[in-house]
Amino acid sequence: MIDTAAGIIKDGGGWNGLALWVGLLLCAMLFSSAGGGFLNGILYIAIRRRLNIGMTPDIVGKFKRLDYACFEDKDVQDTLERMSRDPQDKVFQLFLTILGVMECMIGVAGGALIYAQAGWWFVAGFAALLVPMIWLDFKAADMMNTMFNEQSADERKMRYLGGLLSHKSSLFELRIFRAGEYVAKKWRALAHTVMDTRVKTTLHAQKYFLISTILFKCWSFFIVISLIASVVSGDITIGLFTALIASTGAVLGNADMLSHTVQNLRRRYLLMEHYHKFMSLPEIRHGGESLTGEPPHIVFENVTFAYPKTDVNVLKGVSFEVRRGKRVALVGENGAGKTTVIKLLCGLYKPDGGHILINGKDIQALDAAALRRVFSVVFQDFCKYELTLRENVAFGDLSKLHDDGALQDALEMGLARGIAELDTPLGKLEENGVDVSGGQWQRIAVARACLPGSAFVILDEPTASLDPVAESSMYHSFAKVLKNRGCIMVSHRLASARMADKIVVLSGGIVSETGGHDELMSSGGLYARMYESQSAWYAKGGAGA
Amino acid sequence: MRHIGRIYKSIFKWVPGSALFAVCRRLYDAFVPAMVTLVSVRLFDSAASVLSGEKEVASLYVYAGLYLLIYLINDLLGFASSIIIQCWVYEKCTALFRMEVYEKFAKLPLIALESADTLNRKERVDNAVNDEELSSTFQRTQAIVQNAVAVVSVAVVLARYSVWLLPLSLLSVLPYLFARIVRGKEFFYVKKTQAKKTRLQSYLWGLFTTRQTAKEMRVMGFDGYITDKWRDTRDEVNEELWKVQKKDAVSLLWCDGIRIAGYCVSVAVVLWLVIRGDVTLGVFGGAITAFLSLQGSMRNFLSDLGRIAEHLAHAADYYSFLDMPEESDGAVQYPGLHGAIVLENIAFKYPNSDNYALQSLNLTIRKGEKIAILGENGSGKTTLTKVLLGLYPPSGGRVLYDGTAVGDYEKDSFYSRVSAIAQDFVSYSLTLRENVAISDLSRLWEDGDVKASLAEAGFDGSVGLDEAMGREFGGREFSGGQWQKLAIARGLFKDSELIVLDEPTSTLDPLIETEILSRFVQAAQGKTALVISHRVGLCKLVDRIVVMKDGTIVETGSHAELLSSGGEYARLFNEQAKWYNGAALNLG
Repeated sequence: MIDTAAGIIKDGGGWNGLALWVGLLLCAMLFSSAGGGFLNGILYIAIRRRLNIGMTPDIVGKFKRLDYACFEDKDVQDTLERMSRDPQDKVFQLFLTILGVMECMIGVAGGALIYAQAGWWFVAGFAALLVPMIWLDFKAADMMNTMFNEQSADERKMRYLGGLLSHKSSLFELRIFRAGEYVAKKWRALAHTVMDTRVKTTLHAQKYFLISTILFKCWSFFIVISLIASVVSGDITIGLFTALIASTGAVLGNADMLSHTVQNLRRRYLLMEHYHKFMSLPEIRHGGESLTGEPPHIVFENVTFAYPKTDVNVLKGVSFEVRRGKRVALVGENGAGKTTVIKLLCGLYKPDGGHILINGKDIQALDAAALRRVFSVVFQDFCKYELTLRENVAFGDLSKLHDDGALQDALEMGLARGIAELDTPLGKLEENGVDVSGGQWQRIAVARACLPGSAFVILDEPTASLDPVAESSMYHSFAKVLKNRGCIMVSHRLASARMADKIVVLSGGIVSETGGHDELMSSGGLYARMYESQSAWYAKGGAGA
Repeated sequence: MRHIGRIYKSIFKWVPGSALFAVCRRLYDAFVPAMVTLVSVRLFDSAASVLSGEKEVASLYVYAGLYLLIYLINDLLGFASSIIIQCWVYEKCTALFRMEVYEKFAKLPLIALESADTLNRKERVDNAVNDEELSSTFQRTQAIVQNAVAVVSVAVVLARYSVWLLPLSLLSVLPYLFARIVRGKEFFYVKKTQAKKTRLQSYLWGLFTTRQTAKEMRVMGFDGYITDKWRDTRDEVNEELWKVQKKDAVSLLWCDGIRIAGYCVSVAVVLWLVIRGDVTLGVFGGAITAFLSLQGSMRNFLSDLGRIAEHLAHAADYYSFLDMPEESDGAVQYPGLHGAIVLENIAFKYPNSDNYALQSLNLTIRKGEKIAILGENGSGKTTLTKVLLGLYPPSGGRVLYDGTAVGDYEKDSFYSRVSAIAQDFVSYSLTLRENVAISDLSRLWEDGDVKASLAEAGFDGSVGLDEAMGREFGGREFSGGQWQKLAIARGLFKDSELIVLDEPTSTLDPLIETEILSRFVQAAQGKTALVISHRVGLCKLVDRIVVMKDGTIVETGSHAELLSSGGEYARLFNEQAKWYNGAALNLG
């Protein structure tokens, strides 16, 4: 276009040629910039949608199948945290980055080809520089990524400490003990370390990037000089000269962009590793057998168990039996392993040694759904779901989500009637959410376990948050609810043990005593001592201080 | 607007060197387009004149060198600034902003944390800091100025050559302004209304990725429900966003079209000018890139102007939190308790609540007394302790320590003599030593004292003092009851004259419960002690029992007195006792 214009200036006339060139320019730009941008926008949205639909079930499904032990494993914690809210977004970003790289390369190649008009060795030099540049960029990105991985544990700790400094319950203690500054100092120290490492690594990594930039600058300097020489000697026209100089900036910009994008690409690709790590985490393995719906017969046969990555055996050979429809109280000192027994029974962990048999079948051979149908559980650290009351209760058996009658009955059994309407949101998530006390949450948890009408109920400290009157009513309720059902109740409140058909005492990782209340009282062992210790409080004569 | 001032002040205070460098870099960057235009016009003109034999080749090289130099400096500055800005303006400042937030928490009155408003602010401030909104505001305000300067400087340079060069290229960018304003508002509105859904989304995601809920989900099997709900919420949020983005894309298309048309017309106009002889060919060469950079800068300017509103909203969130009223400190040094603590006609209401948690409450606690506070759930026991300790100011009435209101005492001196363990005590994922000695850090390294407290709480010394606790960090995990014992050790470790325990034995087994309560009463000899407990059994060990119901005190006295008077205490006692005395066991 410039040449034609120059020609026109010199010789006059020839407007058609000029108009043609201008027209071409207009079309080219319109198409590439506007149309491209628009298509990009729309296309990206479509692609994102597809990714959402495609990838999410994979990730979510994996979460559901994850071996429970993973949630307690600190190494896995890091991987889990990287599975952010929109993990498929990372894939999309990766895709975008790949496209970006291609776009840059095309831009760069295009620019280089134009330079070919001036001399083929321009292009050769350019290509020769590209290769080391990309290699250097990869190295830089790798360094940064390694650093981020190594720092994730520190960053988690910082978040934890920050949580201590900003939550109601910890602020209470930090205020009274005037320990806030101590925690803050720890946080600051970690922040310093993280920051220092980051700066150092960034400088190292950018060193590579700097080298590649310098290489390109030299090349462009060389080019410009040659172009000037060419124009002076008449090898190229002024039009070409102008075009090439003007586009040098663009080509250099593109090369820069390419470098950045390549680094980005490498980084995103390495992020995908987290996705792969996540997808290859161990899963729960279930058998396929099922159970009938009647109360099961449970046998623990010499079960040994240590939590993963610890060396202390919590259970050292536990054996006991729960006959059909019988109620068993599991008692013992703190840390004796009662909750561990519950977790094993629920299938959350697998015993290291020994067997757990349900109706004669090994628990590992059973279907997950089979176990669920048979057991319902209230854990010691039961969950308080900040959703509606209806959902809180219906989680015990979702088939009854809309069965108001069944839900109200369950609430009745858990002594949780009247806390709120079924569709009231609980907790602080919603503005009109109702605040519920600890004791009320516990009753809702019991209602949740009562809903499915399963043949066997597992209760782990179900009255810990209840006051005496509520506790008392709860025992009455249990008596009714547990008729004809089997039950294991873990409780320190030994009054509840008297209600059981059999008492199993855990001590030192094994079952030290079993039997009925009177039997155990007369044998004078651990149970007898615990019971007396508690009942002495209530003796009419008054136990002394 | 004043938030911008505060942000600049903070950033310049924390990282002055980097901030200054960032600003200087911007200035240079702003003038680059103008400089490039000037130099390239000269360059092309030189080339033309060299070709027609009028000038020396040397000048050509000079201009070429200048041209390259401008870019070179720009690149070097850009390289350096990207590191400096990322590390210091962003990361370091974000950490410092975060620390500011934590320091603010330490100064807020504890009662503020009970209000939903504070929690909302807390969440918004978290978002603002996590998304580095404040540093982004710093950067973007400068970008706006930079682009404005670039536009003006290039326009001035071009105008020098011919006045005609301006109007077209500028006018063609105006549509962006309108598009920005209209679309920006809609985008912002959509984001705001989505805030609730996004919170639900994060909550639900948290549910199937944390341990406690993962446990229940596996055992009860409702994970499908939650994942479905999460996915539906997320899809809803995304669909809305995409609708907005599609509209954005369409409006951008129109803007782009107009812009390009404007560009081409500008190019044609310059050509016409060149042919007429009003401007040189060199000007043409410089103008083609100048137009593009002019349009680019203008577009960025408008775009940033549109986005700044979002950043400012976050900045407003941040500062509205920082500006919350702080707790005031008293002036009187607390000399310790000599006489009594008197609660005079106390009334207390939680923020945003209509019901009084405490009303017409009168209580006198003499120095050295051991008191048990009893009552049903919701009777106000925990609230009473917080009011008593001066953490929650009463809505009515006074809390007096030796005749002086507790709020008049200097907090440091007051709390140094008080120890308390709440019902929701903290299990610190730190070392065992820190878990105990956090109550009195001046004795953190007194191994003997720490071990003694642990022994008092029933630990056998098998766990090393410097062992890390908490499985999320690869440390040891305690059972619920063991954590509770640890909390009691913490409470006893501090050498205080007043100690308050809220439900200290709810998860402890009977043997240890008895032992600890007895030990506690012994260790508390000489101290004034308050214990809240459901366990009526404790009541025989204390001097006086206080029974609460519906926010007020209904009975006080010793165990024997209350039992015989047959009131609320007797009712609570018998409810528990009957299970041990065999009477109520015919339950089928």
